[in-house]
Amino acid sequence: MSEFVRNQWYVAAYGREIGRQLFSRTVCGESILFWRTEAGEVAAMSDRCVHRRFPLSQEPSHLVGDTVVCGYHGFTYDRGGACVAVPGQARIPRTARLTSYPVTELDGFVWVFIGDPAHAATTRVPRAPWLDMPGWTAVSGMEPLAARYSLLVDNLLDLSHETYLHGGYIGTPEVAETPIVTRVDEDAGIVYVSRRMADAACPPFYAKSTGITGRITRWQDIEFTPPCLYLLHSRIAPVGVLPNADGTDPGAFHVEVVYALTPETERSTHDFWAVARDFALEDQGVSDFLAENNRTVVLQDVAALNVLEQVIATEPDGYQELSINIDTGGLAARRMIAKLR
Amino acid sequence: MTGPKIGPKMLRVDWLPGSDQLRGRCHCGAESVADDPVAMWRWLLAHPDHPSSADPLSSSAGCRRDGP
Repeated sequence: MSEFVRNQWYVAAYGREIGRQLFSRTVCGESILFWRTEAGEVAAMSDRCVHRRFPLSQEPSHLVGDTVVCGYHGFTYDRGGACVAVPGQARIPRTARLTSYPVTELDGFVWVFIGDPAHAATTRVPRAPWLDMPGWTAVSGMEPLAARYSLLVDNLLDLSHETYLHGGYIGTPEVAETPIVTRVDEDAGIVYVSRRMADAACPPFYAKSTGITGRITRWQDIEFTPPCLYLLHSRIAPVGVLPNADGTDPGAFHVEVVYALTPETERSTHDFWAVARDFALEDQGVSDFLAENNRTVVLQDVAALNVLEQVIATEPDGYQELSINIDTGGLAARRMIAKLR
Repeated sequence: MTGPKIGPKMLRVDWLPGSDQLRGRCHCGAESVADDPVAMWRWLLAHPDHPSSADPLSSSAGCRRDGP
């Protein structure tokens, strides 16, 4: 049985990746062709010609206006996936139609609905507004992960690993030492994990980007909306500086770390990452630093999870695990994902 | 930078500072303490039939229902 959670929206790409060139990405095992219409809207359909399964993203397939022409025999499809021309004959077979996918662009992401399209309009698309919002500057990327989606969920829901895997970047001893609070909103389908460090070392990731030289008060508030969108609301301030009673927080630096976890296959995952900040908005040096540093951190995770995938792929089903307090949020996420299946 | 809006069906597990214990609180108001997150979720998800304790090794761990 498929491990994929269907009838959900997934991030398939950044909006900047989709243009007038045919673009393919596999989401939940489905090879999907993306392109932009002349009006600038994103179209999404199966990346396999109905005739002989030639990938429509493969040259010499190409766009003509708002149609896709298969590069093998010329089957031509409109933006909804309907075949509008076949070679050498006037009759177009009734079944000559590509599966099309609901898509929407929000916050710089292209989201695609995997499942029964009838459910798309009533299924929530979670938001990451900081990626495209005045007063914030964002950097982003995507790294291919040769590991199953569930390993990335475990990784992101338990940030104690920062201390060990990301020491010298974002990890300090206090992350693993600080107790967490886990909340599950059963109605909204969201898992929250909070770690509030009152007096912590400032890791280079934040010291160099904010200019803080001393110890910090560091808050990590995770908000995971399964299956795809993970937010880490990160608050950094000189030690002891807290928000005002009215909720304003002028003494702190805020970073919104966004991940979109999109299964590619049963054993591989698209690891979209973004870092938005509300300080040094015009400073390209800070942007470059955060982009390079966060990518390094993501690649540290990728290297570890790729190894882990190879190990557990050889283990029999039901292999033994041990969970401790740091896993409380990850266990909640696993259960919520299982409920969605 | 505010915390989550508390919905009517919020489950909460606090890792009690200075200890290895977890305190779980169901949306119905029932509470229990354990030192194993698997046992704690099992206890929380048993709502409305929470066992007397989330800790399978303890018959005296605190469990009280103080909600509606």
